[in-house]
Amino acid sequence: MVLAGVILGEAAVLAGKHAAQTAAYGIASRGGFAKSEVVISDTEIEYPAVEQPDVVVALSRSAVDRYLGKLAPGSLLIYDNAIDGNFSGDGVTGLPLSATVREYRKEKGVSLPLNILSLGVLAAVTGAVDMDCLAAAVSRRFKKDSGTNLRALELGFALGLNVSQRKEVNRPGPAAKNLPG
Amino acid sequence: MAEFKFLQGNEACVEGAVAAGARFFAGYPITPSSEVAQAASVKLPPLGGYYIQMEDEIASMAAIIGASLSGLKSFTATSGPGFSLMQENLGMAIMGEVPCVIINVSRGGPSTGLATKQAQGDVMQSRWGTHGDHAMIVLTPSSVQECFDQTVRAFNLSEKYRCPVIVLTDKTIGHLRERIEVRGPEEIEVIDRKKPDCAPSQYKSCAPDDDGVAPLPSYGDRHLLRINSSMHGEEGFLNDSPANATALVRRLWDKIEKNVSYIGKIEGYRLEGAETVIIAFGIAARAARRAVTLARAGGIRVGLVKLLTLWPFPYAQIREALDPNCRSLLVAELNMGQLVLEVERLFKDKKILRVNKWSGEDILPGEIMAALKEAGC
Repeated sequence: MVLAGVILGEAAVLAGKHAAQTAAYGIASRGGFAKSEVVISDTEIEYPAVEQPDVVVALSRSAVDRYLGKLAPGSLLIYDNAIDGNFSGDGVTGLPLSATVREYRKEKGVSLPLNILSLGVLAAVTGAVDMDCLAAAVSRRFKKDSGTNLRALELGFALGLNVSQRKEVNRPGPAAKNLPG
Repeated sequence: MAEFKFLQGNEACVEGAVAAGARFFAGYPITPSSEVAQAASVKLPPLGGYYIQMEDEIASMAAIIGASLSGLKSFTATSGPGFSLMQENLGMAIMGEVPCVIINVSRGGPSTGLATKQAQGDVMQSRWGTHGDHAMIVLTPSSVQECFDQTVRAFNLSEKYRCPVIVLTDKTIGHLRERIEVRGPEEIEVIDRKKPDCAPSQYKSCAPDDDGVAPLPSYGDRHLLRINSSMHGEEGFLNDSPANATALVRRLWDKIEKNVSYIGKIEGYRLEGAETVIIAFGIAARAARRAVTLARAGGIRVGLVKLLTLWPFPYAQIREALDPNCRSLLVAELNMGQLVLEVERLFKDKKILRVNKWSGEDILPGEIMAALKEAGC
């Protein structure tokens, strides 16, 4: 998840925007709660961490519990519907995120990365960065292994289009001349 | 030509070090500073530089001191527990007048404390961690861009004054990724140490010029360099006379403390008419800036002084920046109250307010807003 946030930030910079990404995790190298926060803005960012999220993508029960019922009006919580429990409320939507990964593996024998799939969802729901910039950021990060990641991005985008509510947080601006290294 | 990158604060410190001409890193990786070592290990060798992973932080300091005296600009990186181990040789660098840079990415303490969490608990360790009377330059970036810029400045100040310089960041700033502008070499001022221009037979390692700083050759040059961590005279030999001790400690102090107008750097924000001014550095200054914007929108007359130099404390610059209407100062820091002690000592004419947090979490803009309201601002 941390890497997904980094790529989202890189994509925003590619789009000529300001971006800030922070992460929080425990001392264990695997397992436990982890989050990656990204702020995207057309102007300089005063405080780089998220104070009140516009959109949350939750991939674990602990993540859902942390945000359910605590979001500001108009904000969205998108969760993986493989998580046990019935969650409801304004702006709360379950999507078949890990189910999509599972089906793709059954069909093609390839494991799609769930974090990149989630980025595609975010792009569709928010319009914070356009897909070209996200795809460019993914390609720069994974180089020759980009194929599977780009496929995950596309499938996530398609899933995101199913979300009835949109949260237009930041329309894409003109592309920057200088690209992040 | 300038280039935009999306970098971590720790990575930006390395970019800044390389831009300033650093070619030697020795360190012992520790969370949350490890990315500095990692980036240095990637960046330096292709430039003909060196990366060495040492057995501990004591050796890391020793290695960068040796490398610097051999002519390479050198640096290390660590966090609280490792910084404690570096204090002995940090004193050696002060007494031997060795240019070098220490990047301290602070985390929750004491001891191994909170390895992955946030704190600004090294305000006093960075100032007084090593023993004896000494001055210390400590720079405090509060963004990824400033990690780059302040690391360049740290090398410049260390070369100019022949002294160690600390870049004090924190877990959040070290791991934060932001868009930064990496400027080309032609746009960056780089200061190199003064070399002796006298005949080798005339050179004395510790005889200062009028600016209080002695020229520094490299080991192996024709000018014979003597470095001595004990009290020494101008030629570098032991000299424990009361007069010499008084003069040397004074000179090492004065070459920093008498140049605060050059070393000290602050940035003011919305100080016009500000009745209350927040003083903060690092990530706390970012929360404070947001709080000031929100408070001003609500009609509260608040401003911010962000410290880019923490030590020597830029008292005169702050005093000058304050509006005549300023009645109170609010010090926001991620500890139980360290910086505030200096502010209380120097601003006895102001009411001093505090916002402190040492839970491992950052101070939020809303918490500063709440403190302002509680104080009746």
